[in-house]
Amino acid sequence: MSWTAEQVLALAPDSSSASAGRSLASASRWHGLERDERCLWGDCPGSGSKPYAVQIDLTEPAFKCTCPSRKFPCKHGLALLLIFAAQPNAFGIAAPPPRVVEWIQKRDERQSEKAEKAEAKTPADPVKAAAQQLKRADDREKKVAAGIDELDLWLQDQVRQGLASGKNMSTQTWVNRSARLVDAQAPGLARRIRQLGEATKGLDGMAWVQRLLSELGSLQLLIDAYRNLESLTPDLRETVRGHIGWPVKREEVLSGPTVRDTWACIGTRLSYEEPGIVRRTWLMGTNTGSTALWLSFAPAHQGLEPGIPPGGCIGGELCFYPGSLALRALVKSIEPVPVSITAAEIVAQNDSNNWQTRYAEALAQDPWLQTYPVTINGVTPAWHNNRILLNSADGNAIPLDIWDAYARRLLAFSGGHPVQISGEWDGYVFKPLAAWAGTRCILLCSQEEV
Amino acid sequence: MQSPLHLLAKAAAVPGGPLPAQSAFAGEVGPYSELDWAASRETSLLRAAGIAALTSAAGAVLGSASSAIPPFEGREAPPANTHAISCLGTILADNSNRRELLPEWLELAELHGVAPLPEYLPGLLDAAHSDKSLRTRVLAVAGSRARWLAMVTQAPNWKWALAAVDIPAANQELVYLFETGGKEERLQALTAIRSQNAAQGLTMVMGVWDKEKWEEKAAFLDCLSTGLSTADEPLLEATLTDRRAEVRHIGAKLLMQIPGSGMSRRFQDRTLPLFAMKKTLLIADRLDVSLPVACDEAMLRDGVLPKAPQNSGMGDRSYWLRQLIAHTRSAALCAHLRISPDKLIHLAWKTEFKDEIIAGLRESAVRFADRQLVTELLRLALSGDQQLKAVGGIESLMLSSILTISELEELTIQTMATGALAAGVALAYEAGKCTAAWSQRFTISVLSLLSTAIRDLPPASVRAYQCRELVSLMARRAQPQYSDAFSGLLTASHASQDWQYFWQKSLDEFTAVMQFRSEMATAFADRKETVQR
Repeated sequence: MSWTAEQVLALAPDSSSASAGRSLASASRWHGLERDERCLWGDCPGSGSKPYAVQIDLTEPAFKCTCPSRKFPCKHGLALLLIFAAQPNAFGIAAPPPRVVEWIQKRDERQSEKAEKAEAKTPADPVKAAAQQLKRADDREKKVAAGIDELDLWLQDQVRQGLASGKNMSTQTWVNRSARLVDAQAPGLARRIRQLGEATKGLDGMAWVQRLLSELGSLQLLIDAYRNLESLTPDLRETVRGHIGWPVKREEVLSGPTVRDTWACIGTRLSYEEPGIVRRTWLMGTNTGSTALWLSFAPAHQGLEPGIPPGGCIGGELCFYPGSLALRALVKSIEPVPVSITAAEIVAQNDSNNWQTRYAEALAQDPWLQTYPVTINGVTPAWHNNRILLNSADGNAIPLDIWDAYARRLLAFSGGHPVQISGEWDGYVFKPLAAWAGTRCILLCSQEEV
Repeated sequence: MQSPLHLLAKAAAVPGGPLPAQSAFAGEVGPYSELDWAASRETSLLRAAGIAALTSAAGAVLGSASSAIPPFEGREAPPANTHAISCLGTILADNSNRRELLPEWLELAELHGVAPLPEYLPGLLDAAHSDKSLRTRVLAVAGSRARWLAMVTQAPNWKWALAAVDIPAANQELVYLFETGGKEERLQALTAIRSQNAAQGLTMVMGVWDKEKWEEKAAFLDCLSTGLSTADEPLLEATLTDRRAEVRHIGAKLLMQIPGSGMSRRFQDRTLPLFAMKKTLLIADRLDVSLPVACDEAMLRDGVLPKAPQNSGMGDRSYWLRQLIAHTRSAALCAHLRISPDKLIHLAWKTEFKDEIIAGLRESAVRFADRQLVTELLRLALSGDQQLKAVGGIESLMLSSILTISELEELTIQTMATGALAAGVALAYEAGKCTAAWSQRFTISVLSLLSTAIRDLPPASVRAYQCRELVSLMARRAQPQYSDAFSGLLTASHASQDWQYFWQKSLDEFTAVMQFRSEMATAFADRKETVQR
């Protein structure tokens, strides 16, 4: 893939690294800028006597630098990639030096080790471990059941008191209710409750009651489903447990079936969700046509591992979490993609006219699905009551949830002409992630957590 | 018909709201009939709502398309190449430390006939909103699309881009615009009319004078500076008694700009009698200065302030003297005394009222854009610390761009050649600020000055701080193709730790900025890499 500065900076762990990287990104500061098909390397003079040796494996991308910074990637890594984005010709083609070769070998070894480990991990004392596990699961089962009973009661109370009386409820109400569910080891439900305040913000009167009632109704159905878990199909059972917040082990997912494809990243969104940062990376497969959500987590104030930037693409295998709708996934292996393949092309080829139908189909598989990634062709920005929205090619108005600064960016980019847009749809409002035209793409949401 | 969700919400809104009849769900998509309505009112309601929410999200009915935005159809330059665009990205980034190079980027883009990519326009428009001096350049490189964007977004901060649309030249349209437009448009129309037909503009202002608020009055008066002539005197004289000080100030300022106006004659008549030459055979020529005796009604009306500012250490009468000189052309004073401007300053410096006279002359020099007087005052200022203080700092004479860039540079080079380090640094800094792109000759002299200064000045002294400012200014203004030569000359080679600590960072930054600029120039010159639209 080819890189843009914006994509590179989307990898920065924080804004100070981003600006430090920018100011180092001038080719004349560096020595020995070279690359091969897979890697970039170069030396950046720092305050010490020896310059920092920086190297990047472009497939993932992965960074390595000899500087003492604990940020990852550090400013040197970002700067090197920025130079590559702006002036690919500044790099001479060469055979990698020993330090790069060694690093790449180690990385490849680790990759295969990881995969093997995932497949063959046996505890020391299988019988005892299994017993312990059962007991833990049983304890949790009880806690969750109690938490759900309490939530059920609370839901009934809300309706009994009349939802309109709750209009003055503070955010704290949701936070407290959510905390109870965290204690009950049902983090999925907890997150939903916390998001209630967010979803109903900006609404008034009956619209507010309707939206709140929808969300509460959906919770009620989730409770019902969980109580009748035995009567559900195995896939749906996994889906319901997932929404409640039962954890699924990484190894279990990684040892499941894999889907190999070339994946285009159609957007990422960073958010702060107690107790840390969450990055949602939305992927779209070229051949399989499947969409995937890759979640990455990091504790607050610590950078996330670099992921796939919006507009970038990777080849490789994904493993989907169990459930009736294959959406959330883990990246099992990454392979380099020929430079000629760009995410913009993959997105452009995607037939997106039936996006609402696809969303409905996804809902049919997972009725508690919240957001779903869609790309829509040929939309033009328009104004309605001082709000920006999108006119679709078939004459509909798509409501948008977008920051003013990004709305203006979208307008400037489109010039009022049709563009392609990718984003998240939740049945009510479209949250843009990126806009696409030709081979170019611009980001339409903040790359810092909000 | 109301949707199931709506019916349910009505029931759920208030305590004990009656449940909708089951028949209301007949024919709706969803398993409503399987609900056990007898179980519990609340639970049934929630379950039904869950079903209704799901069906309404799955089958969300979108509104019909809104009135579309008129697409951008204008012509524009081809986009700059990837490298140049990435330089722009660095300049415009949040917390960018290269913001000051935006004018240079825009200049290069204009020179090479390329435009920024459209998505950078919001950033550019915002930058030019806070820094007016960028506006012309932004419009020059991306004008048509920037105006389109300002029009369709109606962003208040970008209104200026709309106002800059070429005003229709037809006189009638201008009159119409003046009568019906918003404030910005009215001012532009008025300025345009004044340049076409000054008398017509004056009549228009007089026609609306009594109806306008003071803000408009002040703004209209400002417009009269275009095509200003004696014909405007009656109106301007009338403003001297206006209730608002802002209006009086502008009126007085404009009156002073009309050569031979009643106001300037009045001031001249007050000032000249206070000065006389004493010529004797025995001692050198002497300038006799007397203070004004009173500040009468007429002086007050002409805007003379009767009280000296508190803590200024000045008496009221000296303050009157200063104001009178400030409103008198030096040429008139020189003619009255039959001496040249340099002699005037030379003699004035020997009088007991030297501070007031020099301050007054400085104001007069700036007011009347008197190049000769500015030059003489600069020479005085550079001759010693006391003199510098009396002139009130070199910068006060630089702001008004009275001297041309080459005159300034010449004066600076002369001063530096005399070896006056302190004066040289001060003047070079001020001259450098006024000059967008330093000439080679100027750059070389500043460089030699700096290499001496960096070697000799004690770190953390006032002058050394000034030098550091000069280094950072040079990084932005000198021609980037010499960057290597510069960094060679300005290397921190001193042994002492203090010295290193004080200079190293500033010299590193100098090199970094120079490198960035030189790369930016290379990026634009490279025609091979272009961005695909």
